Amino acid sequence: MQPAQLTVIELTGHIIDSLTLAKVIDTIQAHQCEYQINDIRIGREKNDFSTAQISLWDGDSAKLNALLEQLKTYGANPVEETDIETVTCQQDGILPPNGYIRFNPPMEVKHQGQWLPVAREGQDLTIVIEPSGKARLIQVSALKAGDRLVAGKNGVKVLPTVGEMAYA
Amino acid sequence: MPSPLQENMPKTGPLQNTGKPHILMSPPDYFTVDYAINPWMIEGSVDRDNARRQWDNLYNAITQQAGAEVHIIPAVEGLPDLVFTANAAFVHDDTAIIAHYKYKERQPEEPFCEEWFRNNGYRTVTLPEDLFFEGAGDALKWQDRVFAGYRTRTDIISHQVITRETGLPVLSMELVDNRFYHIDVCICPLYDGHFIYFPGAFDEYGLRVIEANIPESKRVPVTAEEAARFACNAVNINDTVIFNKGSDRLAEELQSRGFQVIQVDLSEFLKSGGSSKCLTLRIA
Repeated sequence: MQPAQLTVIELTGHIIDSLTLAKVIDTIQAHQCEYQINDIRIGREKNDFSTAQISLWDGDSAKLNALLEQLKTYGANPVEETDIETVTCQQDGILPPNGYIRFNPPMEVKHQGQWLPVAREGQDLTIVIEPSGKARLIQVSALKAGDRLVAGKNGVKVLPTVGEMAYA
Repeated sequence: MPSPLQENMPKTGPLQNTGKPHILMSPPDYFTVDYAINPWMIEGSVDRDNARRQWDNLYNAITQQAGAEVHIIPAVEGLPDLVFTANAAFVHDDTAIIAHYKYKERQPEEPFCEEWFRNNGYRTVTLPEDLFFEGAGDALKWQDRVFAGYRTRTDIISHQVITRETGLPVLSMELVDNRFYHIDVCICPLYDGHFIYFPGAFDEYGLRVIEANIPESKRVPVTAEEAARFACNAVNINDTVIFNKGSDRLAEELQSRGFQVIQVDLSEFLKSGGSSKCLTLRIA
């Protein structure tokens, strides 16, 4: 089997009420590509956006590319591979403004142009970039003032945990 | 460099609060069909004198029978579709999100419309080069939300701009039949919550969105024949509904629900894929 091509897509907007997320998932299933929903954040107020991030992979890159092209119509675009932004922890155990709670799937972060694996531990987590340059997922309660956290979603790639796949 | 538009544009200042609904129209002085960018367009088919008569009849129905105040954006030679002001922008309160047309034939309209709104006291929002959005042709307010179309002309990503700039939530609806290329040719939300729509223009997701948001008692579906006569492309001003002639069944149904219906012959504009709603833009 050829190595699977992995692409992470994201869609934002009123994707629940518009049934756009349902349409995207139905479309992925119709193409018989593998997928995993990495993250869904539901807007709380009526004018809040919801966001979903989904990993897609398939051994047939032509099939995957055709799917990706169709999903663009629904506003589901590949996540842009920008570098991360960071924010500094001001108080032990307290997530600073713009800090970001992560779920606990395997992840990599793009830091200074390099994708770094993120070591995993516990729940209620956030990513810290250590002075050594390593990325670590730690519990918010373990944060120390001065820690450098990854802010937001840019430059964060969530890797799927199910299915058969290989990375180039 | 001075704007080449300045001498053409009226300086009318912010809209006066007259207590009347305000509508933006543009006369068909240069209306023609010189290109075909939707399935209805027949090049070289327009009788311009007849188009002017029909446009005047619509103008009179809106001002004299429905009681709205019409503002005019002057026609511009070489921009035949400027007459379809519905596409110029999406307007909410003092914000006008200016259209960015998918087809290059209509893109020269954008600066004229942007300048009109700016000169009339609106905060204008323009879109990036790679994001297409065709104004109130693809975004219609219904109560506290917006029904917005995408795929044929408008990109779904542009719907986020509507929410960001106006605070209104948007229900994104894929338009699956290319004949109904804007959402304003397949739905018409009415002021009291009634909702005219052509079910054939949507997929199962779009129909479920309509069912989830519009009470059954307020839904007014139209037939394929009525939709092809642009019955959904209607102007609603309070309890008056104005649409192209030839949809008597719909007129009777709306009358039974308490509306006054005016049917106007707009056959010249149908040759370009537009009707009464396309010829108007509610701006206040």
